[in-house]
Amino acid sequence: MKIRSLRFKINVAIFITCLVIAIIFGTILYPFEIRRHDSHVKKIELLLDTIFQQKYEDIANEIFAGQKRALALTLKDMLKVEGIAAISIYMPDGKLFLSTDTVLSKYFEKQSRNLSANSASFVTQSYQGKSLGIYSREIMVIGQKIGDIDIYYDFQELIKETRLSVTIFFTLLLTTLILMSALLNFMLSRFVIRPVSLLRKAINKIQDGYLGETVALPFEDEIGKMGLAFNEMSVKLNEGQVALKKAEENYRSIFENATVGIYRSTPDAKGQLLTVNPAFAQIMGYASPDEVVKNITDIKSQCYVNASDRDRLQQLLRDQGAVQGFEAQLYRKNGEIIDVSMSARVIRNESNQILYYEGILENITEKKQASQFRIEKEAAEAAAQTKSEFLANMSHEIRTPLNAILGYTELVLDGIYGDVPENIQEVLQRVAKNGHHLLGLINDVLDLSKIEAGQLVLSLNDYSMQEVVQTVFTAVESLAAEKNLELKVSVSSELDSGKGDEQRIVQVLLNLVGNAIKFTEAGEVRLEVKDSNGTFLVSVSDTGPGLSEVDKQRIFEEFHQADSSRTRKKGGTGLGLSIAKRIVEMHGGRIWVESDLGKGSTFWFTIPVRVDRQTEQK
Amino acid sequence: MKESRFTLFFLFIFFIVAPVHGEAPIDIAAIYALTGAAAEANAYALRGVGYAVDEINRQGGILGRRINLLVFDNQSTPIGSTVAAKQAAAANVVAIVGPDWSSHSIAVARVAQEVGIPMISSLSTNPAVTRIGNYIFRVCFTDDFQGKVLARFARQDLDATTAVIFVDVTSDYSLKLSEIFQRNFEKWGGRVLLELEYKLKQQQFDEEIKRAVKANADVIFIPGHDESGMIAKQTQDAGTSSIFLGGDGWSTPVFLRKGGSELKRGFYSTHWSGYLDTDRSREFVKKYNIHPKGADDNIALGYDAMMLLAEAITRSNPTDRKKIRDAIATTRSFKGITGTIDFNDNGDPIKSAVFMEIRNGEPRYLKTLEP
Amino acid sequence: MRKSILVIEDQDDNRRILRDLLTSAGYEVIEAVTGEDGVTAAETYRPDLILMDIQLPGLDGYEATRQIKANRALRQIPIIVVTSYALSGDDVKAFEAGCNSYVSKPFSPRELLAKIREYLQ
Repeated sequence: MKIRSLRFKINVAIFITCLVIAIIFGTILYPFEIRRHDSHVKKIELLLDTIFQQKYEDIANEIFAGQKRALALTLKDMLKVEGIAAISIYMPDGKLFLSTDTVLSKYFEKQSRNLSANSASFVTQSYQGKSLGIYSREIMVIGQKIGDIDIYYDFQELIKETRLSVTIFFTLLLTTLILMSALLNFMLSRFVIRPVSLLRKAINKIQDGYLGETVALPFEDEIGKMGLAFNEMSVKLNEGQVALKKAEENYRSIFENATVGIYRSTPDAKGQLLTVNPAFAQIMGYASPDEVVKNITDIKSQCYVNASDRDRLQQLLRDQGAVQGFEAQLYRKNGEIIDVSMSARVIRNESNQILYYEGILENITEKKQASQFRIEKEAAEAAAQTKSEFLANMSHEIRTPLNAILGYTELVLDGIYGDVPENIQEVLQRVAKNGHHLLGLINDVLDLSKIEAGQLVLSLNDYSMQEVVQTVFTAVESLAAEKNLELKVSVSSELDSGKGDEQRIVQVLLNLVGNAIKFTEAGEVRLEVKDSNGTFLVSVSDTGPGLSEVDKQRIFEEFHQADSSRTRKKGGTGLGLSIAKRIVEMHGGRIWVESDLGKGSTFWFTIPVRVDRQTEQK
Repeated sequence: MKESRFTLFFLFIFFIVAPVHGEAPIDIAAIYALTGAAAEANAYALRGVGYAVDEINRQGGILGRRINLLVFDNQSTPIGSTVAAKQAAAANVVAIVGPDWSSHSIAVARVAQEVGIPMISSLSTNPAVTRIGNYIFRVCFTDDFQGKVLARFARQDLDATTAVIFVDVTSDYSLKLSEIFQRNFEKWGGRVLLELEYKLKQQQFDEEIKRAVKANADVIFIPGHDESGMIAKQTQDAGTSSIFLGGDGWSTPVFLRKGGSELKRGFYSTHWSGYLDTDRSREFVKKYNIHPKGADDNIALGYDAMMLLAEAITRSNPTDRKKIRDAIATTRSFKGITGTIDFNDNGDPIKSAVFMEIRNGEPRYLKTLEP
Repeated sequence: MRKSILVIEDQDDNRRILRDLLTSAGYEVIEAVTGEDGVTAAETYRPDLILMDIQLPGLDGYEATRQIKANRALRQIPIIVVTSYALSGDDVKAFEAGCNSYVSKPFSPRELLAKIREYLQ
């Protein structure tokens, strides 16, 4: 039986102690009690003896003189003594002479008494369940026995006394036991059990996870101090736990959320993964760290594309204890090969044996690719840059002599250098015209190159569409006049202030209107500009030959010219519309054509009224 | 032991004081209580005996031989009496005078009878005394007579119909007297309400007295010795209106001393009184300076006992006990102070009873009742 | 008094064209070949107008323009920048440098003269 309760133990202890005390006391007191009893008995004997002696003369005389009545009175008097149950006087022949209780006397009459003169016998007999002491004496007168006296003493009183004293003793003991027990129990309960119970509850709570649980113990005794210590400990535990949690969270966070793979593997030849973080699993193409640990039982053969890499790694680790930036190729779960970079170190135990490897794993496949791309990109950019510079230089280089040609020609034609004969003038004019054409070609080519290279940058500034239209009108009106074409311009009166590359927009319009004039033999060219919803809507329509379906599709392509047979005559590089398209689209607008063969053409384009950023060309 | 020393002392005294005679003295024992309860009262009897001895010896003794009185102390107990008797026997006395009290006399008588020493009791009235044997005599009346006359007196003179009797159960005298009184009292129509037993040695009698008072009898009969005085006084103090009645045990100054002198009213019977108007009485009273009021009439009895013995010895033989006994038995009309004595077959004389009245503590002669 | 125009242009042909044009238009022409020379010439001769080519060796046209315009004494001299409009942002740059106007190559002599006349009236 397990004795669990403290109370029980202490109560048992108290009980045993009391029992032991009782036994000890009993053992000590027993001889005392016996002595007391004996001394009491002796006292009784003495008492009886004294009474006898006291009454001896009377008794003797009364027996001697045969004075029964007097003797009766004497005996009656003796009976007054507490405890004397009866007195009997016997004749020397043993016959009863007188007794205060004849029945009792008869009962004891038969007994023989071995008495010597002058001595008493005091024996204990039981009679009717009572214990009697019989004091027997011879009554001698003048050397002769005249009778015997038996004084019967009821020991009941004595027994009662003994019993009483024993009862008192045990009652006292019992009371002490009970009181002590009660007191101790009370004290135990109050000072120990309850506080301890409180403490236990608090401890249970802590076990359940409520760290930081404190207990308020009512006293400042040892248990109270224990409670305080407990509280401190609990708080510290809690703090520790909190800190630990925090740290763990921190580290867990790092571990779980690291973008690099973190792992721990066994240092044996094959290698097994002990722990990995989610990033590792993800890198290696597994659904979870658990899956990784379960599935990868042989790192060397399962993961490494080149098994020798692992050997190399192990060797390095053994030699140096740590490696950094170890690159290798690994197989992901699905067999995909990735490039990784690993940093690892060995973890040893107290005996300096390698327990496991710990390290990080980075997927550098993309990086590698990225660097590849970067190299290519840089190369491309360098190429583009070179191209730009080339273009810039080229355009400058090409245009310079051309400008000179045109310049000189102009000057000559203007008569700066003197008069110029008419035939020379005409030829020079052709020269100038060709020169201008060449310049236009070069510009177009350069523009297109720029556009191709993504180098064309719009100069976005405020402009007035009206001014643009005016500029274009001014530029082409003579051309239109030469071919007797009507040039109509319809511009809505309230045009918002635009923002964009004015020059380029002019260029676009010039191109469209120029084309319209160029390819229209008769009729008119109409230019309309509207603006609505923040968009400029511009249309250039002519009464020219119109475009075929095929041409309509391909008219904005580079080098495409509508009906090349006819247009060859007109000249032009075929770049203009494609450039115009680019420019319009860079403004975030749209350009299209509506035309039917034989019914003329209308070229439309829209551009946002305000363009803050050029739309990047694809 | 005290008694032997005492005896020795007396012996010594008598040896020195007594005039030296050619003839050997006659050893006569006087067995009385020198110690114990009876001592005080017995002194008077012994004095009387002494007076007689002196007188006889002054007149030349008996047959020219001095009486050597050997006094033995019976210690006031029957056993003491037996011892004293044995001592007397051992002392080879020719005769014994005394004791006074019946219990003592019975004890002594047994020894005297057995040994064969004639004994004359001075005061013992219990009939049983002389019936022990032919060697035992007395000079006073018996309780057979006393009890009867007391009962008659109570009925006739006191008109008592109810009585309460105090009995000293340690005294053969008291036992017998109360028995005879009761018998006669009841015979004559009286009723004894209570018999209260007591022991002489008792220190206090409250219980008995309370009952006596409560009984409220016409008469309270106290046939005790001198302790009766105490009992009567206390009973009187307890507020009884009963008349006190007693026997010859009252007839001693000790009785008066113990309380009898405070009795307002009481009656008792006795053997002799100083008031008696006879020549011999008057002479004796005068000679020995006896105060009638003193009630020390036992002196007379002691005197008579001794005188009678001397007379008997004179007629017989100073050394032969048997002869002395015979002489005593054949005493004819001995003229004693207390009356004329003739012994009957038992050894008892026929004598009158003197009735005394106590009034306010003083005993007065009332009357004499003839047998 | 004949107005003077400082022409800062490193190309011989272009310079000659300008010289011939301006001279025939009745202006006095001062020539500088480099930016530095141009700035020095401006200081020295205090022309009435400066024609500045952008593409100059050493100090380019923008910087020369800046320097001239920074000079309190020369600030009022109008500068017309001549740009071949090859690279974008040239015009903006020119204005930022402080030029008063610009002309792009190839220019029309008439246009140029007209512009000049605007500033020299």
